[in-house]
Amino acid sequence: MHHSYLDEYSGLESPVHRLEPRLKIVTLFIFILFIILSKPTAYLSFFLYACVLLILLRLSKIPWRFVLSRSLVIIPFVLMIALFIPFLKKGEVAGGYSLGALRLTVTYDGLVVFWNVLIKAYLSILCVILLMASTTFTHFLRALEKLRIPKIFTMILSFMYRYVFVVNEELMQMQRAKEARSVGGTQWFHLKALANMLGVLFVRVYERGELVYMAMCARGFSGEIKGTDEFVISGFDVIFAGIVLAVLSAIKIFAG
Amino acid sequence: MSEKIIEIKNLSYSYPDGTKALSGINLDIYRNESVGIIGPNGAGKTTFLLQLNGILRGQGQICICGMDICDKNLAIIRKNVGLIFQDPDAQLFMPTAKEDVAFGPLNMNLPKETISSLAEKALSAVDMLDAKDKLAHHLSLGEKKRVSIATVLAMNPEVLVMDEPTSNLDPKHKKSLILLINGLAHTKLISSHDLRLITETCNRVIILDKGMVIADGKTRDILSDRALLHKYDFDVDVIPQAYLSSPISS
Repeated sequence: MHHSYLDEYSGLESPVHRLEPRLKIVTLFIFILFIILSKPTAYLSFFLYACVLLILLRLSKIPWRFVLSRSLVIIPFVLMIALFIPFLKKGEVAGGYSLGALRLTVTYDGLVVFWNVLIKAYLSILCVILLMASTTFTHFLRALEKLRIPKIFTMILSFMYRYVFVVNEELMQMQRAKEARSVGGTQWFHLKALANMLGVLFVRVYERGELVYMAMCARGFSGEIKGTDEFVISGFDVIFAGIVLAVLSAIKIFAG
Repeated sequence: MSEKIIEIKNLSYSYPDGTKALSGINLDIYRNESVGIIGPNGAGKTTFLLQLNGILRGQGQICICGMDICDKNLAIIRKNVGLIFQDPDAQLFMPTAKEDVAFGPLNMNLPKETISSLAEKALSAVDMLDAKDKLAHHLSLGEKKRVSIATVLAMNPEVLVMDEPTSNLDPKHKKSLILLINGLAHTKLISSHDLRLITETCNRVIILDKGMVIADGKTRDILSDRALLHKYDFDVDVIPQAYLSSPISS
């Protein structure tokens, strides 16, 4: 039995964890809006936003190592896209490379956009990590539902959350079964085997989907998914979210 | 004899690809009976169980608590027939145990407070109340099987239909599950290869093969018919001696 989590640290006790999930989602969403709507050259405000985030992360007691490792997983994707920006943007040339007939030039404007994309992406990623790591996934889904996100999306996420580990385990078992019988063979042969495994996995997941649907119908499912508990917004929630938003507004006004 | 709770007349079913799965099944199940359904792999046991609350619909007539299975009655029939799938990973599809148990009652449109208390009652009936907020993938197989039973108990069904309830369980968990099943007062239909489970939980046994009812009778009568059991390659050794002490037919 594996004890895998998507929301490993959601059980901690902290003001950030205690925050009502709907309010937390909205607050952090606004935070992200503040970040992405800042001017690229408002270095001070980026610094202050980062400080606010670090304080919130510190309050949440989520281990720094976890935050760092999570953010490092996502940032390469941003880099992959952002890497080309300095070369493509027109403007005053900062430097260049000659690769035979190909000449690549980097512009100052391009570098500013590059920095802008990177810092905004990283701060936004930190916001999302803070949200996801401090909220139980099931609460997060129910809060999304209450925020009028269509049920179909939250249900897809909920099934994903329920079955990602089941499917992962199936893949691992297949992998083991393959390795147990793998003696030599060319790289190409193994690659083909992997392709077959993915095909089998797809069929199994499809069949499981059918079975789960039958199990849902057997318990009276009629196409509409209904939720159970309600959330209550307390005075603490309002004050906490109020402080965060006030600080953000102050940064926006004074540091621009 | 007491009241008929399930009445099946001339039920046949073929899969969409034309494979005949059930043919000409006639069966009456009475209230408070506990019926074991045994038969080789591919005999049609699961297909048969899926007919009982209208997941699969074949030709013929099935009457549950006096109601025919038809679109109009489907909701009430699914409430009355609690179907527990063999694979608990199919039965438990919501993130936490309690949400899963509440799924059935929620579909019955009960008031919120009732749902919560029904769910907790069902979980304590299977001794799993402590695990109510646990994620399904953090439960052991034995625990998952228990929660699976709770998911239908919460709907307060008349009939419990279980597909291989003890498959893959170790002897200890099997034993405690048998105790649990025996403690439930519902009318039960249990499909299994496990003759030990059948002898300990059922008072009537039906042998299904190639989609047909081959034998139907008291557990004692069927399981002491060695010739019959040998014909279908059942593992006679696990049947307690008491069942075999009656005269053996050639």
